[in-house]
Amino acid sequence: MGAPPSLVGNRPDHSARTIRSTLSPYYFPIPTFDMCRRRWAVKQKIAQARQTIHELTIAYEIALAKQFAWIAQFHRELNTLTPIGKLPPELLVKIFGLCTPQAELEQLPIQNSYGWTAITRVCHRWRIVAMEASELWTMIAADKVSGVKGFSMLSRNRLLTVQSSVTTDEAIAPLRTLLRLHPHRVETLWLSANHTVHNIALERVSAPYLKALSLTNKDSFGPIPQFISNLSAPSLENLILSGWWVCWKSAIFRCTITKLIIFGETIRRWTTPMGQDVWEEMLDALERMPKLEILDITNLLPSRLPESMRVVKLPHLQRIRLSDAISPCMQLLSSLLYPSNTFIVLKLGYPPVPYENDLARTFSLPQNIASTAIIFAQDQSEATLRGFSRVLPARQLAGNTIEPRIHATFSPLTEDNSSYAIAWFSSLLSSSRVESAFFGDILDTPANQAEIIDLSKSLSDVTQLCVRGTSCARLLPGLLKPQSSLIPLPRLRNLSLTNVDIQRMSRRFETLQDVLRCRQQLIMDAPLEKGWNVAKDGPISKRLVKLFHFR
Amino acid sequence: MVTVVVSDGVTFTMEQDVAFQCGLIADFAGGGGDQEEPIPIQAVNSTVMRKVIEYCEHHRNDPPQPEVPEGTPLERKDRRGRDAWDKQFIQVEQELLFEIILAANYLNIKPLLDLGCSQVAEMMKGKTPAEIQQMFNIVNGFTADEEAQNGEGEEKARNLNS
Repeated sequence: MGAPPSLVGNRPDHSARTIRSTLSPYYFPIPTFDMCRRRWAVKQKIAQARQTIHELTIAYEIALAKQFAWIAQFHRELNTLTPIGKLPPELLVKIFGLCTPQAELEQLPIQNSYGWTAITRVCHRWRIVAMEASELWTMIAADKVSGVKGFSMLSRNRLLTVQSSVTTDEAIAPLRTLLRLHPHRVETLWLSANHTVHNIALERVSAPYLKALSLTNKDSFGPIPQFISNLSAPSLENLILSGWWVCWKSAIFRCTITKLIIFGETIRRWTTPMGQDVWEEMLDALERMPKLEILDITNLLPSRLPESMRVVKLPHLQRIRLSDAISPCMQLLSSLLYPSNTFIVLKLGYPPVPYENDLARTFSLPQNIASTAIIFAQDQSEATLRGFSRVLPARQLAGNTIEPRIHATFSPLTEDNSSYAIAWFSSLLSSSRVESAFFGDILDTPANQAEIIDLSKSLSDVTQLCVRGTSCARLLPGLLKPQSSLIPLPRLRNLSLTNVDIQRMSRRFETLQDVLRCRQQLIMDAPLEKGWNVAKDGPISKRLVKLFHFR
Repeated sequence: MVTVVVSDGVTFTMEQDVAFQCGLIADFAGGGGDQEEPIPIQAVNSTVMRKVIEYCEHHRNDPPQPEVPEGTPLERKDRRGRDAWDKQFIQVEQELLFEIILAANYLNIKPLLDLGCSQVAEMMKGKTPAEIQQMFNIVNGFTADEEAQNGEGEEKARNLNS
């Protein structure tokens, strides 16, 4: 507020100009001293009122905040009386930790990896406890900048597990920022992206504590970028490469690696020439990784086999899984020297070359028959079947005290290949101990019906049988029906039916029931909603018939 | 034999291999022979102690769990497999569940502590904050600022998970 109006400045003016102006329709009398005083006083009061209102508003807000805080405090006190409120912070952190998505490299990516953060919005105490526990914030899905910033801050100096699945150059910005700001904190990195994005993300990155790296190429199958070789990751132990054309000369295959998993093409096309020099490069790379414990190669073995037999020692190897044509798989097995208890998984198919000698040689090598060798034979072409049928019966297991356990997968069988298939099945099954068998989507043709009956004679050791598809299930009565006094599949204990519409089996289903009743004991899984309706003794779950004892 | 007295004055006598699964009792007894004096356990009542002893008796022949070094990521620490008996054992009222957890923590029985914590975590997984509040009878107790942050947090969480 200014000073009160002065007397000098407001003296009455009786000049002619003033008189004229009073005659104007727009006449406005010059305020007198009293008027000014009154106006000033009113203004003063309004200002004071405003000031009072302002002060009251502030006081009200403070009181409201105090009340809110008091209510919040009261709620917090109430929470301490609940059963969970009695837990100390360290136990809450332990429970929260079990809610967070933490996984090994092979289990990445995790969907909805930020879902667990809902616990920070449950109550004040939980929020404080969670925010203080840096170990909860180490799993970062680097697809959003906000997530990267928040999590990298809350995890403080902890080592991080980072997953990112991006398609555009722009979307890589959060990951790029993270790798630039915290390269020394990344322990596990899972990246699925296009070829160029990998370049942008990982170029000139130095990650001294990076232990596990998975790179998936979303583009069409292509060469792995050169910069991967230059990636500075001296602690790298686990490496997964998927969808890349691997250059075995790459320096990424270093001595620290203990687990190497490589997925090549989704379907082997055999279009890319790979000569003997690639074999040598691959063996060189394996030789550079003497600590290797797990080796898994899918559809990426060189097709042209080397002339000389060279052996690479992998003394720590625990598990080999090869999925490819027979020849290169067997060649690689023959070229490796590993402990006799190494777990071997083979998934064989699409062989372009003869393989009889390879098979015979492989099965005659003592170190190549492990105690728990498993053979998956899936989607075989007819050539595969013929190859097996000739070789397996004659294979030598001299020197091996333990027979391999075989879990065989037969799918699919068509009329075209069934004549070879049965020969192969019979030879494989009669000479080996097949413990479990899976029949999927085999056509219900007269030829297959006849062959499946022949096949049943060989399945003497099968304890588990899984059948998928109605047409395949229609073959079951033939497979299980007693031939004269012999009961086929005498050791069968578990029978599982999936994707089977019992209604469509009609009379075959009744036959199947009759066949099953002959058995002393059988545990069976079958979908109830598909019309399965048989007498049952055991407990029944809602969806499955389980623990059936047929008599 | 080892004798303990719990907070409500009830005395429990158990065999050594059962009692020594509790780190606290093993420390009390000093790993020696039979304990003549009853060991006071004031933080545990008789109802909870009965459950603890039931657990210890069932697992008396289990091989010792390997020590997990400090700083090991959480998933490798606590993802111990639960057998059917354990699952059945831990299906108890909420109040008893948390008392078992506190007792396991106090008595230093790590497998039981892991079992209880993982049961609580299972109960919470996939639930919204409101559902968790309702389940555990919690009121949020947030300050005004935190309430505002929560609104933003919900939005962020939706964006992050989208």
